[in-house]
Amino acid sequence: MSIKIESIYINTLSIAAPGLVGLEQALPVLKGEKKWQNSELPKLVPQLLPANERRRVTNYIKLALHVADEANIKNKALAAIFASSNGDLYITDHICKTLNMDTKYISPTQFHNSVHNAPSGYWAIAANSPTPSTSLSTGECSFSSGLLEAVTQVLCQKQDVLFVAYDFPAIDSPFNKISDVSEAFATAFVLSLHKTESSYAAIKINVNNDKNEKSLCANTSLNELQNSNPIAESLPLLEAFCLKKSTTVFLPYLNNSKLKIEIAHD
Amino acid sequence: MPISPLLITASSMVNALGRGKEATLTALQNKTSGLSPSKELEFSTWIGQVEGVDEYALEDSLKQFNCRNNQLAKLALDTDNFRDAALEAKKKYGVDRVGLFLGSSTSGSGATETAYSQRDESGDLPENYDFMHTHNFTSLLDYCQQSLGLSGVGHVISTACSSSAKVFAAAHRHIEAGFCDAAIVGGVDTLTDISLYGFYSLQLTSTEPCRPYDENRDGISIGEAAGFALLETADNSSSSPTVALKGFGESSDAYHMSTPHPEGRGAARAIEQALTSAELSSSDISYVNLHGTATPSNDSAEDKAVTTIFGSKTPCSSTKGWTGHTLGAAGITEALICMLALQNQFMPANLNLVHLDPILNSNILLDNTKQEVTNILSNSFGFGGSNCSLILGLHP
Repeated sequence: MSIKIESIYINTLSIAAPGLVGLEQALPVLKGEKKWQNSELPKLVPQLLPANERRRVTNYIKLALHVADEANIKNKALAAIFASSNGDLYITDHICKTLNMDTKYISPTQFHNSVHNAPSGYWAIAANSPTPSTSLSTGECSFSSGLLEAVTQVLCQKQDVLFVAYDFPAIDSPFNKISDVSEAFATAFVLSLHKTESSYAAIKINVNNDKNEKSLCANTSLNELQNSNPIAESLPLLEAFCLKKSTTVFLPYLNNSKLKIEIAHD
Repeated sequence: MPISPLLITASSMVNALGRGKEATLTALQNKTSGLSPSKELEFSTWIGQVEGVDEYALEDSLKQFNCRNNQLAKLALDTDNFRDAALEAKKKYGVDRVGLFLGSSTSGSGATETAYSQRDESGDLPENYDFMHTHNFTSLLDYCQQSLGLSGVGHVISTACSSSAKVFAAAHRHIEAGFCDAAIVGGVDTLTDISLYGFYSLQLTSTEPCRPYDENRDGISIGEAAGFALLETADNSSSSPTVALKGFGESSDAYHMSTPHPEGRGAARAIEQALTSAELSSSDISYVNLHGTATPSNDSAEDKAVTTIFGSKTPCSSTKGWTGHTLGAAGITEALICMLALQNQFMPANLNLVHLDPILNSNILLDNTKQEVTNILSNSFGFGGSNCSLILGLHP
């Protein structure tokens, strides 16, 4: 029943993180031409979302929609995978505080925003996309499991897939002290069986049970960012996309195994 | 796109009807609901609670995962001989070749609710609170992998009430793409204040046992449940005839965050894709297990989707009057109810129905019905407009 693992093309790329907002700012850093410098993430405004919905979304949702919009340049209704480790900790904090008040009246908007698939639901509304969307988590290796799910959808359903991964820090909440997310980080790209003029790379992916070490950033100034957010574990892969260098990247996966990603540029 | 079937070679379920498939089957056949009035909330509603979860201890070596959601997961793993079947599969395929795809909407968020009630004067959470091993979605996957000693691929899908239906599709794709040889799918959701007070804030909870498709339906009864199923490819298993996953369809409403598209547009798309993937036509479906939450908007939207595709003759029912709406566990719970219906050749009634809503046109089953059942469609729709339909049938 198993199908042959084919090369999959990465046809668009978007990134949003402190000091890496948009490709213009991010490319020189990801190519190793410039050092990464931490600077506050500007307010992101998801233009494609209708104004009435825009008022309801949190910074976590805005971050996801921003990279999804930027990666989906042709604005096609693509099947989409949304990966995030922690979900929206701002919403969790607010709701849990409310539940400890005298009247446990949760805001209805906060409740529907609390579902892990809130960003994907808003995305479907914004992009008017009737295609399926999956929201998932595997904690610190959420990027890898999301990428694997995206790859299976490309291979099995022979369709382009939009992959969006993001986590946002829990500012001003007790989570701040215990969470593994200290900086915002999001990335998105379209995976396809078909090469285009703007393809970044071709990848082949497999789970590697040898205890390889995870890949580190070639640009060592990014090491701090890589450790600041589970989704930032993708940085060595994003560097390989931008450097146009054929290489192999190992990203953290379940049970200390690694996702082995062979990257080719042809 | 047509898919090859996957056999359900082992399964387990725990819900308000009791522990194990036999308990669920008996309650279905006797028309005994598992719903009871909630005693601990600031509002009046009925819930589907599982007895004995808090007393059910995790393994000593996995205590860091301790929370009601993982306790319920263990209860289900230890039920219906499922653990033995999982260990057999591990031996047959290898520890790293059995995938694990789980759905949950709550995960162990109850642990966070408790921790917030124990904050100190500076607002800090108690030291023994462990977010990653309880509330983070990966907690459920990590706990189940370690409990079963598995180390294959997997993830936790959280798409509200379609979560543990979509795991069947994810498992199928990972097997087909060669990332695993067999897979365990499942769903675990527990009663939490977040979901109880959350649905109440949206005015979606009923003060009575939920009455899907009734003229006077006024909301859901929230339940908790866990279920697991072992999926194996048809050529790797000898037992037959077996219940198989024959098709799945997924879609997005792209309409509203907490209200379904009024014409059931997304639901119809998921159903059509499920039929296409199973290479079946609507006339091949013996019975439809509805999402049927008993909110006015869900049942009316789903009725339009179902009647558009099936007309008004195919027998349909919602089983939420028995179990309550088990949210992230609804997909697996109802898929396994469909499996029981196929194995026992009967179709469950639409419990609690008094006056069928005259504006709804589906053929709603007023009573349990003994009849030949070959293929069943099961619907699961969730917030964010996330839809998933599964087709289960007898194979070969």
